[in-house]
Amino acid sequence: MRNKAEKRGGKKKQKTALTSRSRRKQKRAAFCFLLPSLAGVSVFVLIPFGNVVVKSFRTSLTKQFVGISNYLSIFRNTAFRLAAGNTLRFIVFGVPLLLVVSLALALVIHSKAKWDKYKYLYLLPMAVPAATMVLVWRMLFMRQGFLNRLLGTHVNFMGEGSAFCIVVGSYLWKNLGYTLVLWLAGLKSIPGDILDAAKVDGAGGVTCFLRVTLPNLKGSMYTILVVSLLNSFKVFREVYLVGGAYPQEDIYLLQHIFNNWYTNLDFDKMAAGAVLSVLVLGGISLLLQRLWDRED
Amino acid sequence: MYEVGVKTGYGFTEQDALKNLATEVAAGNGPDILVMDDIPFESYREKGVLMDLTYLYGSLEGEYFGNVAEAYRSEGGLYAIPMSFFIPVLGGEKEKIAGAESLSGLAELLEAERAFGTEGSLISFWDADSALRLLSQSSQGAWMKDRRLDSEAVTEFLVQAKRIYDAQMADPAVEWDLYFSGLWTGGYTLERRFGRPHGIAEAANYAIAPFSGQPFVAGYMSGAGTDYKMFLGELEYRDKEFVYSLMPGQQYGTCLAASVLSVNQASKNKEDAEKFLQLALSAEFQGASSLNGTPLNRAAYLSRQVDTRDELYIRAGLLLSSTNAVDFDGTVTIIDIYWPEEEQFRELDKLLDSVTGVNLCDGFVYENVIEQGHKVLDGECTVEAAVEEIVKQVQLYLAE
Repeated sequence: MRNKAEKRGGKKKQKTALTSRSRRKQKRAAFCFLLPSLAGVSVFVLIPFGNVVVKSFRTSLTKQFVGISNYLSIFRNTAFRLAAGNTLRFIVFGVPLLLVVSLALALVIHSKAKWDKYKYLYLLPMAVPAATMVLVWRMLFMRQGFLNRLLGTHVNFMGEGSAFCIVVGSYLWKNLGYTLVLWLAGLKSIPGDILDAAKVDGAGGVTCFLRVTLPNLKGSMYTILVVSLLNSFKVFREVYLVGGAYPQEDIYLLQHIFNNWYTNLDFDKMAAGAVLSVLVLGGISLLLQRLWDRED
Repeated sequence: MYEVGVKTGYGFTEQDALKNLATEVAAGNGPDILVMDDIPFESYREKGVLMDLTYLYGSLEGEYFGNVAEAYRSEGGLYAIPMSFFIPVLGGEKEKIAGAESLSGLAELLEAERAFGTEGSLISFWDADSALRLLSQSSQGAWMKDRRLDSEAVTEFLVQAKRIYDAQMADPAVEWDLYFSGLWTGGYTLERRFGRPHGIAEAANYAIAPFSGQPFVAGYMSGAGTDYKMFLGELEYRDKEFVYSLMPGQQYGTCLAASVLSVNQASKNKEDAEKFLQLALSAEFQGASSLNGTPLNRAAYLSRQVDTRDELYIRAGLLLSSTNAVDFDGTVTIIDIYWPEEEQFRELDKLLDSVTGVNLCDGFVYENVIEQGHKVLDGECTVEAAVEEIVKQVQLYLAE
């Protein structure tokens, strides 16, 4: 009996050893596959960012250690506070608006099968070069532009409070098609029989959307939200080309101040600002992921 | 080896050039010598990019225009030295321009002239841009105090600029002269920063201004160079007591610096850079080169007062050159240019010695005042609204 049990135990041990060996092998293979991208991310992102973190505790060119004084100085800096506030306001207004409008349009298009074949056209705004967009902005919104001619006014819309709305509108226009295509992909992945079953159970259109479609879109929503958040920073290009380094104060964004700090050799402030931005954006992404995971 | 920051024809802007320079400086590969004319001096000095040139300046041989040379001294160090400078001047009948030192004084002069019935152009500008750049030549240094915008000084500048502009443009015929101003749209750095040469400087191009019956001429003068000799020739042609003095303005008595040189603190060739600076400021180099503006080196400036023509020409009192001007009605006027007399050179010496410093202004503040000033002069907005906008923009810039 004892001998049998020992034998069984030995076999088990052998099996465990084999499994752990194959796992180790698998891990090694996975590591080998991951290594190139990890090396790329390290060289191009992690190490430079580490350098930025170090720089944020030093003076820009003399490289003296100054502790957290760069962080304190940017918190006291009214221009930085204005830029951070404007960027946040833009994200708070622009991103949810983009998500809602694009989802609404995606639902409409999804329900009309014949519109689906035009989905490549929705991506066209993304292909429009920034210089062309800037030209259109100028033609539309400048003092001598079409809009003034239409309204019979003589206002520089990019120099007034309306500039913020124009920037949000432009962000919507540029990213709507792309986000819409992402939503459409998400909608297509929802199995039709779940919706049919809900309908059989007597669920109406709104209930179907709230109880079936939306929960099934959660996976896509996270990706779309993060992509839209990152794309919201790209609007700076157009704003800079139209308004220069110091545009109307409502559209003075974080990238403006970083750009100007760079020109004036304020690398220390720029590093501190960049670290804070990464912390905030990273924090938001992690928070969103946590929320998503919890609900799953 | 030298490198021009703003490469024309490549869609390259000044901002691009400054960013490239910032990258080079941050990487420790910046140029040994920096020409600071359009580079943010204060920012570079604060970050420790510029070397203290006090010792080098002290070791230079010869005499220099001290008030100009030391204009970039701050916090105990001398961080830049201009190679040359220009003096903003006003020409007109002696009794008229005597005592005119402020912009309001100049405005009164022009208003009185217009009220007297003088037709056509009164002074050397033809549009809002040229007016503002001309008047700022002797005023821009007053717009900032202790690194803050002095909104009262900017208000005063715009109020007086508007008065001067209105007096000049009261005669619709002046606008025809816009045609001529088209001749001087150029990319020369100094022209962009201080306005195109008006009336006096580059007199060869602008000879027409004092001959169209215009009672006043204004602009910056290089001093003792060709333009000075031509200017004197033009004044003498007037057959009146037509003289010149420093341009009235909020910083009366200051000059405009050009080719402002600094040494990069991180330079790997500091010794060579210092040698280069010594050469660039030496009497031999400044006297022999066709340096634009008055050389900082006094001996080099005085060498321009020596007639180097053949002895025969000098003894015969022959013409130095001649120029001609075509008036608006087609009348051609030929002006003889002679070598200036000793007394005239001494007057110029006195004028240069009376210069109290350099008229310095931050480039961003300067361009903002000009931009908003356009709107005031063109009647698009009030002075108060323009100043409010300038304050808003500059506050953001200074807060950074």
